[in-house]
Amino acid sequence: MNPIEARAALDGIDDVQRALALKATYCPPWRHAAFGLVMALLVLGQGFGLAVQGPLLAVAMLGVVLLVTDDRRRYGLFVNGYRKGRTRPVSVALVIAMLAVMGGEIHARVAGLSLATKLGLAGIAFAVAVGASVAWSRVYRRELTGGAA
Amino acid sequence: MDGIDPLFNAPARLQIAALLAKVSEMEFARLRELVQVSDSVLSKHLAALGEANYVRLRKAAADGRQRTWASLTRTGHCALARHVAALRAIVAHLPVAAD
Repeated sequence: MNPIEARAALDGIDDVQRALALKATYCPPWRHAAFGLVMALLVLGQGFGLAVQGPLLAVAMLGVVLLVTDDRRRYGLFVNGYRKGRTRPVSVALVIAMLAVMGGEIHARVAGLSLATKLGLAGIAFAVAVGASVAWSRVYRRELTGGAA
Repeated sequence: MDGIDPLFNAPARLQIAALLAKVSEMEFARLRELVQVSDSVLSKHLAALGEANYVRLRKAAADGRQRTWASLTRTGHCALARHVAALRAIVAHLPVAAD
């Protein structure tokens, strides 16, 4: 293979990955919000006993299933959020932040803090998760348009 | 040339692998649209990649229809990474275009 052919092959990769970025990575605001809601429910559950935590976990899991099903139907593809690549730091940061807020919820439950405190922590989880979802999408799109060469 | 995989010499096959490397799974119709090949050509390329264990195919029912989903295997990921690295090494010998 000569350098011209190699250049053409790399350009071909860039072209299809750019096409993927353009045609199949637009994430509407409601999708970011839905993800934030799922994460907020998971966090909020930690602030209550099993009687509340169980149903909240079940609703959150149902939300995950619905989001994945919708992604597959709408985009014709699925991307694992914890994939390797430039998005990994965003995912790791999100997990760390969610664990921290969950710790706060557990503390709120054990210390018997008010419902407002627990809802406030869930609100923080929602905001952080929405922000992380937006950031993840941007980084993923940038990775796709960044080029193979 | 080290790393160059003859299976990826077909541009469409290389592009299919490059797309699958960026997703967990992609549906046949979406792949066909992005690579811009016919059903039969895409099927042949996927079959060739599948025989080499570079691509995994699965059928799943959705909206009352059978759909085919493709994903890149670990072997496929490694082969693609080696191939792209080899392409970059070859391109490194190209002179930089003057402004």
